[in-house]
Amino acid sequence: MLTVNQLSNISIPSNVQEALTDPAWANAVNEEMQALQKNSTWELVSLPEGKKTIGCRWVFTVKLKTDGSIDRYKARLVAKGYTQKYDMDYTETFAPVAKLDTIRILISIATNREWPLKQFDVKNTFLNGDLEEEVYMDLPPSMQCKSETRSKVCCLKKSLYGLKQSPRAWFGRFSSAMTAFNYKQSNANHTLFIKHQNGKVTAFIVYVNDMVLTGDDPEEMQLLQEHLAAAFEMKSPGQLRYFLGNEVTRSAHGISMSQRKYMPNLLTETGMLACKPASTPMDINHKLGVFPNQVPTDMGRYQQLVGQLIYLSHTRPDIAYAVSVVSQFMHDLAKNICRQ
Amino acid sequence: MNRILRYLKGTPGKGLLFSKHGVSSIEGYTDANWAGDQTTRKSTSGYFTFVNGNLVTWHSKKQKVVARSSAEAEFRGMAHGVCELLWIQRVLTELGIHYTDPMTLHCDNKAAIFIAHNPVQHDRTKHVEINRHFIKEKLDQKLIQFPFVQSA
Repeated sequence: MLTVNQLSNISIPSNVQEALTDPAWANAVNEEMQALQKNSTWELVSLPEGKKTIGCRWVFTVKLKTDGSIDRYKARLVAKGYTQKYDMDYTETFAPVAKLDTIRILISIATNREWPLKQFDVKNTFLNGDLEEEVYMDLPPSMQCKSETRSKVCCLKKSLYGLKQSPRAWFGRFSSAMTAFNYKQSNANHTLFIKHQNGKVTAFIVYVNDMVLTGDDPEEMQLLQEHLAAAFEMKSPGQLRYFLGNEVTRSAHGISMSQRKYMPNLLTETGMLACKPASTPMDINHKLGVFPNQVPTDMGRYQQLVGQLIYLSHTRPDIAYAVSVVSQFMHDLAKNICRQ
Repeated sequence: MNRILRYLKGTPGKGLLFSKHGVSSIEGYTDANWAGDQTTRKSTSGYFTFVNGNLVTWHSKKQKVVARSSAEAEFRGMAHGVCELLWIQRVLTELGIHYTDPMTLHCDNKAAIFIAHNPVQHDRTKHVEINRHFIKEKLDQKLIQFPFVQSA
């Protein structure tokens, strides 16, 4: 991931008026509007009395290829979900996500039984979710100037990025699609879908829009792929390469999982790129506990860093203990822990 | 904190390798650090588990209650490890993969293993009753076995 600084030669528009003056961005806005219309995300209605609308805005990003060159310009319309009120605009927001533990179990099995691992990606994921609640949204900033729509608002039919209930709506839609293909939702992990057929098994795991398929039934895998392509707009599937920033590579020795690319970013961010390497993550005789005369340090920064380390420990069991120690001081920390 | 980052700097390419070991088993290892916290005297325990010889899950966490003996700390750790093994077994069963042998949980504390096998309530362990019954039940169902490993 490149930072904004490294992209300084590309200007990211701050609003849609600015974006529409640049053909590349205008194209991205059009693309997103077409996707929204194709999915019939909303209907234009007059706002019923007593109802309130929530705002929306455009977010612009530049997507890069792995070599750092520009992949595409992306414009996304997001709802200002933070203005939604509980019980009025939304009720349930919980959506399950896959545990990386389950992924590792699947990878271990796939290695031993030489099952293929395939990766899927759904385009405009959240726009597929059906919205149960009645939510009204302001017109997107790009449509407001047209006179015929001026007095109208959008009554949302599909979940939009930014809404509180979007992940849940998407997962509900997806799991009912999977159930329709006779897949059973696992009890041990709700995002794992399994199908047994003629003594063969197919397993499918989903983390919002990151999906992994494995099993010993190639015909069923092909069928599922077609089913999903019919139900959702999919990017063409391929071999599993990345899952949630974890790099997955398959070789004659087996499958390796690493977060190699995450590390330099972390070290650069913390200014530790030139530090002296240590052979162990922790002092052998470290003492835990709260000591007097400790000078408080920047709490937010510390918590953020611990979060990054926890994410990193997904492929680094060697730092698990050290991370568990540093995370015990999230609420009340002092400088000498930070130095440890 | 800086130490962790320095360690990471020295070991940037490390990751997990899943390979074919030709074994089909679920195994776990547990250990505990009795009263490791100088202030609260709480213990830290951890486990890691292998499916077919590949590391899949691991965990290290300070225990929520104070343990009165090292065996008790280990014992709590074992109970956590047993839970994890049972969860893994459930996932695998749902995938249609069954193991006939009991799962193994390795532990380096003989006292804890004896307590697990022994139905007698000791004076010094009567307060860890729930974990004890839980582990004993899994042992009796032949779901789990506890071999002893020498600590390093």
